[in-house]
Amino acid sequence: MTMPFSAGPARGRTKNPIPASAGVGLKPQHGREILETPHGIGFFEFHAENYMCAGGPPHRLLSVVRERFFLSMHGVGLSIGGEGPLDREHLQRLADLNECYRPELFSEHLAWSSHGGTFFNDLLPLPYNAATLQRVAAHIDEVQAFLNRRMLLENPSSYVTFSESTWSETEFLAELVRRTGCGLLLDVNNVHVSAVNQGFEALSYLEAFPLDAVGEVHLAGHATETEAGGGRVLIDAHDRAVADPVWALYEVVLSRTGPVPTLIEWDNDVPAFPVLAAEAVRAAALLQVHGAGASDAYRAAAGT
Amino acid sequence: MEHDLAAALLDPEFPTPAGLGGWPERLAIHRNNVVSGLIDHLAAVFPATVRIVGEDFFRAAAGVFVRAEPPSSPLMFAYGSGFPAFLEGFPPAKSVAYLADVARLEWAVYDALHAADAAPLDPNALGRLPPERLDSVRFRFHPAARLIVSDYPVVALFRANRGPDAAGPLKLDAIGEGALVTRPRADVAVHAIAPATAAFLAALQDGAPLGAAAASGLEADPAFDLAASLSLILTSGAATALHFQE
Repeated sequence: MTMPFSAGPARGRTKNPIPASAGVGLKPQHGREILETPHGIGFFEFHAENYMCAGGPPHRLLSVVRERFFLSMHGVGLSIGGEGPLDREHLQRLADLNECYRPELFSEHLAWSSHGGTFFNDLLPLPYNAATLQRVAAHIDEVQAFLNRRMLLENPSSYVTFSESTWSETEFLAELVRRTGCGLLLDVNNVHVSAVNQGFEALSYLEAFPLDAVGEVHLAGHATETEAGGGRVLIDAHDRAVADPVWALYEVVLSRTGPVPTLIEWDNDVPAFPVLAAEAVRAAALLQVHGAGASDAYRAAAGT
Repeated sequence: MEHDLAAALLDPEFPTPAGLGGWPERLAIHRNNVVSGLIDHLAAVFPATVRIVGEDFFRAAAGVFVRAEPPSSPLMFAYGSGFPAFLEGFPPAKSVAYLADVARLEWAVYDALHAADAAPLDPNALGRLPPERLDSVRFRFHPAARLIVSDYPVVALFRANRGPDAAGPLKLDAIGEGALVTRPRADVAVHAIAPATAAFLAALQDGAPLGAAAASGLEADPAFDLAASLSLILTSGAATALHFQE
C-alpha cells in the first residue's frame, strides 16, 4: 500500500507523547466543524482500519487533521488475543499508516476478532491463563517490534467468562506490561460494564489495575438491557453520552493517575459535533481539576 | 475454545461452547454484535436497496448473506462487494428484477470513495492529438471510475431511492441505461448514460482503441453520439491519461 499523503510533523516518542487533554473520535461527518470552528479539542483518534483504503476523502480528512492536531491511532482488527499468528499483511498496513501519519498514540485491544479466515467485526473475549498470557505477550512483542514503537493495550468489556481462566484480568494486564513493556489504555466504561455484568467491584478492579502504565483513558456510553432472569446487563454500545457512574469512576482514576489523555468514544448514532465536543469539555474540566490537584500533591511531597 | 466460539457466532444452532463459565447465554450478545453489526454496515452502504425492499426484508436478506459470506479481512470498506450478486441469486428477491443492478451501482459509489487518488485527464489532451492518431488512442481510466450496465433505468432508480424525498413513480418499462461513476477529486458523481455510450466506455475500459470502441457504440445503437460520449469522458474525470500501447 502506498500512502498518498505526506506525514505530518514528526514528534519525539517520550513517555507522554501528547499533553493530557481531552479528545474525541474522528468522524467524517464532523470534518468541516473540526477544521473550521473553534472547539479546543486536544486530539483526535482514528480507527486504523477505516484509513487502510488507497485514497479518497478519508485520507484527505485525516491529512488535514494531522497537520493541526495530535493524533491517536486505534486498531480494531489486529486480533492480538487470537490463537493464530498475527496477520502480517495487516501488521504491514498498520506500519504503513503509522509511518504515513505518525500518530502520537497507538492502541489495540486485549481481544480477538478473526478466526479461520473470517473477520467477525467484534472484540471477542479470551481466557486468562498461562498459555494465553504467553501468546498475547508474544503478539505484543511482535507488534511493538514491527512498528518500532510502544503500544497501548485496552482492557475489554466482558459479557461471558471462561472456566479455563486462572488469572484475573488486572493480573493478566499487569504481567503483560511487565513482560512486554507495553502501556495500557484504560477504558473506564469497559470497567463499569464488566463490573456490573460480572458482579465485581469496579473500585477493587481499579485498586488492582497497573495504573502506572496507563497512557490513555477511554470514556464511552453504554446501553442497558434486561436479561431473561430479570437481571441487568450492560452493553458497550458507544451510542450515547457517558453515564454518570462512569464519570464518577473516571474521577477516581484521575485522582490516582493525575491527568491522562482522555478520549470520548461515540461510534454509533453519532451526534452533532457540538454534542460530542461538550463531552470532551466535561472531561477536560475534570482533567484540569485533577491536574491542579496532582501538582499540589507533588509539591507537597517534594517539599517545594 | 476459540474455534467453537467462532462457529457459534455465525450459527445460532451451534451448541454453546462448554468452556464458558458464567453466563454462557450472554454469547448471544456477541452473536448480535457480529451479525447485526455486519447487517448495519450493509444497510449503510446500500441505502437505496434498503428503501426499495423495505427495512425488514433487507435485514433478513443481509442476515443470510452475512452468515454465508462473512468478511474475510478487517477492512470493512471492502465488505459488501459480493452482496449485489448474492441478491441476484436470492429467490425471495426475484420479483424485484432491477434490485441487483441498483445494488451494483451503490457498491460502485461506495467503492469509488475509497479508491486511489489520481489527477484527471486534461480536457484538452485529446484535441492536441494529430487527427490521424485518434483512431488508435487508448484511455487509462481513473482508479475510482466504475461502469454499470443495466437493462433497467438504474440511475433513475438509484436517485429516486437515495434522496431525502420518497421515491416518485417510475416508468419501469423505460429502456435500460448505464451508469458511469467518477471521483475526479473528493466527490463521487453518478452519470446516467445511454446503452450505446455504456458499450463504448466498456470497450475503452477493456483497453480497446478509440476507433474500435466507437464501432462498439455504433453497433449497440446506430444513433450513438461519439462526440457527446467523448465529452463525458473529458469532463467527468473518468480517465487520467492517453496512451498508444497495445
